[in-house]
Amino acid sequence: MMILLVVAAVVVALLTWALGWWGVVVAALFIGAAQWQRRGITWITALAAIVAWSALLLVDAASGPFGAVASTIAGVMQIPAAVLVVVTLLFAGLLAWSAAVIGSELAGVVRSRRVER
Amino acid sequence: MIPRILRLAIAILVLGSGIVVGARAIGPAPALGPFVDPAHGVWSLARSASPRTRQRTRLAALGDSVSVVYDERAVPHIFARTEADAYRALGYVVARDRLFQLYAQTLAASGRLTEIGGAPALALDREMRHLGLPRAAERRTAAHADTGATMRAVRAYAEGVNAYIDAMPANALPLEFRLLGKRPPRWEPIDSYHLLNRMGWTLAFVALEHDRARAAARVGSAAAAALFPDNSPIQEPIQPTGQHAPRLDFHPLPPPGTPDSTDILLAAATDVWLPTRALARVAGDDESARWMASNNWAVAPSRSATGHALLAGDPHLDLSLPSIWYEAHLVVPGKLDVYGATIPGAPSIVIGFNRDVAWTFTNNAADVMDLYAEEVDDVRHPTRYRLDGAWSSIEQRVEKYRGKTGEAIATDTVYFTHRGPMQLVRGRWLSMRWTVLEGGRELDALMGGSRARSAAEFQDGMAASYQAPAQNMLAADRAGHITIRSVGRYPIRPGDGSGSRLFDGTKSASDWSGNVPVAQWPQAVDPAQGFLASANQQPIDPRATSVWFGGSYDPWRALRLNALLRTDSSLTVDEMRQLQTDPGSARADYFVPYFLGAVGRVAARGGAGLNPAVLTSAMRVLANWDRRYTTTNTGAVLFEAALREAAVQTWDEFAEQNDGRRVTPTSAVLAELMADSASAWWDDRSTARVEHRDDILASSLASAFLATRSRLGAPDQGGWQWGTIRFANIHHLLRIPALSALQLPVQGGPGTLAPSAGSGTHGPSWRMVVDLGPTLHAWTTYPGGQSGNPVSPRYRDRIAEWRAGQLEAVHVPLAPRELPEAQRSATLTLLPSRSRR
Repeated sequence: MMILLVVAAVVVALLTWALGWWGVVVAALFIGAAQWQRRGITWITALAAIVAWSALLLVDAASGPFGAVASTIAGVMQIPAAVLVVVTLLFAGLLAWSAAVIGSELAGVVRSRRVER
Repeated sequence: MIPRILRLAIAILVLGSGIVVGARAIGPAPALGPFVDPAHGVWSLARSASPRTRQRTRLAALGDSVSVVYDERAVPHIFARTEADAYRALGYVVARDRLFQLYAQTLAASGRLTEIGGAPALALDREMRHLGLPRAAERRTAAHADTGATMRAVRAYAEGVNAYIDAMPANALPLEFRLLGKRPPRWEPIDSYHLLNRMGWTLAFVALEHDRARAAARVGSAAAAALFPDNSPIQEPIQPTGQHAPRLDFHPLPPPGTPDSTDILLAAATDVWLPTRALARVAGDDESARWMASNNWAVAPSRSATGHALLAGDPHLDLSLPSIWYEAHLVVPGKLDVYGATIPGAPSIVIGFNRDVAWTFTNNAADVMDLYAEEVDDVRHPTRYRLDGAWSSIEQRVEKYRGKTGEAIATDTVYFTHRGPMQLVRGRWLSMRWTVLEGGRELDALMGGSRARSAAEFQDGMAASYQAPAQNMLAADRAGHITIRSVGRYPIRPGDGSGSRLFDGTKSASDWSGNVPVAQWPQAVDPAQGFLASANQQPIDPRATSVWFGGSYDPWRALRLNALLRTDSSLTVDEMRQLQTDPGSARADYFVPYFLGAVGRVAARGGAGLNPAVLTSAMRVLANWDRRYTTTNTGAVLFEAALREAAVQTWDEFAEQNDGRRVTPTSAVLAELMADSASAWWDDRSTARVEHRDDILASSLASAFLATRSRLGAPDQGGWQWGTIRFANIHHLLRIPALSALQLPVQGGPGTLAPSAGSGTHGPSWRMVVDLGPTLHAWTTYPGGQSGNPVSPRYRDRIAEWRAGQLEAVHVPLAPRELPEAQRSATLTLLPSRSRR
């Protein structure tokens, strides 16, 4: 499971880098479809998205004044900086969970039709 | 367990909602997806907060490689082989640091703010378009030959800006674009001309005709003319008179007369054409806001401690983050070596110095805008206007305003005669002629000035090309010469030459017949007094000229500045710096004795119904005041309140009008009135008895004391400190508080060399001192920082030193190697495209 989590996180991170936030949706659809029979895959995918985006945030933080960015944006939005971080990660997690559910259900439907044939 | 079908339904709902929230802006909130994306979204700004310390990049249009070295103050020193390449690089580095500012000011200047602000910005855009500013920019761009040196520079600058936009990494997209959900458009050469026009709009507008006409409607023409005079009653002109003291040109003011609304159309026209400017100036209770409040001065070697000419300048403008100024140094060996402040969008240093000459400007508030009453064929849909008995065609221009998503939100037709834009004012079509709309070759002038080898050459170049907005241009050179000239286009009007009236538009004889020749402009070269100074005062004593310049002028800072310069015959660089934030006030020096004298006399008469204890306390505070506006000073608060109250009580004839506006004569006119203690203007019309000067001053002081004590507590409780009530407020361009620097206590008040006006949004936008010795030395600062990125450490890093009145020594290397590694913060090498090499 840990390996799957790491692999999924890497996929989400790479696709986010390549496609932006849509990368989470694409990655989660793919992971959900590919692992549709695996128990708890949707939650693993959601967790992987959160891990992936956390890692990308760490890259940002290591590259410059992340605290200043957080406090500035929070000031603009008039919300606490921590809330902004939580919203960011929650957004990725929800996108990933929901896309993974849809991906796994679609894969299940496709597989069952093939079996029926 | 949740049934699978329910789980799927929830997932579809969550994903659908997530995609909507992620992809679409909702209200003022940006689309969440691209905003929070950690790879490319707002978090990635951390990666672009500071420029990479070493970077090489290609800029296709370059003729040769350009080396850009950033010093420890983040000032780019641009070393190029051609001027065109230097301007390309300047465009590139300005875009890198100030991309959103370029965009925002272009929208503002071209009347397109609705594209980011929607319908609420429509009034601002309409003002720009009905003034004809976008049309003027188009005409100016077209008027410059494609092959001309200036247009080449403008195009090169645009190439630099666009090269940056094209190569900009996703993480470098400025925060403001992300918040607005916009992408930076390409920079066009016309945008540089929009910027110049915007400066004209900011600086070349005088409300005198407006104020006088509104006043005449209350107190008659004679009184209005005296209360809003063409000439300042206190003369300390820019062009030295040879006198060693100011001339007080005081006369008894004619009493209030019969209301005369003959010229009210003039006032209404100003309200229609320039609603935001008129409102800001007329509604402001602090007259400092009426003038741009800039200062400049230079001392000859004979009066400088270094033995060289010294020059200082601090132009005052609206304060913003990022600042209107960007500091840069351009070097093209053998051709150009100029350092100073450029305005993002202008391919030139505007204020600065080269190895031989330093220059700086203050605004000249001459009247360069006239109005004409036109006769048209159809008031509702005019197509022709009458001129010398024949009909001439009216030019029509359809102006479309677009909203945030490009949708059309309004369409106007703007009409033009040969003079300029028209407006329907109270059922009458007026046209307007304004030098700003017929601008000269200001960029030619600024570029030429950068190459000048002497102060005289600088001035001659400026006089040949520069027209608007008129500026008091001060220059000093390494040979020790100091010069000043009020450079601009001053039209010659028919009749007595005055522009303070509504002209008959049906006659071409009403038109301007030419321009005042350079020889008649206010100016001076190496005066015997050994110094030159301007502070937005009347440039030339009316006794020394027959030319009508019009305008509205502030004498107080000039009085203070000239007094200080007269008393110090060996100025050091540091003293030049200190003058820029001098807390003393000639205005306070003038009025305080009148208040104290009045209280003494009224008290001796029995107090005239005023509380003796209050009068005594107020007098004690005022008498102990050192008349300085330091942040810890406790006397300035009472004086300002008392003077404001005195103005209200004295000018009760101009009580607030229905529209919430009031006109108030300047404090210089109030000073004139002080000399006439029994003038009818002192009488409070709401009382049965007749008040004189002392009654009003004592009453004002008592009222101010009570009001201040009520608001801030007793004088000795600490609440009366100047720094607790008067602030500088430096707003972000989008007026987002978190990106602004607000409520900054600053030294200075109304009438001081660094006046802080009521809202604090106006102030010294740039400060510079230059020592023009064999080896040039200079010191500068401005309120803000080089970067426009709010998360950059360079966004507001200069504000603390600016507030403290400190300056930083600048580096002026001749070549990249002259800037040691320890003084570098980054280097950028711009390379031409491979195919060019």
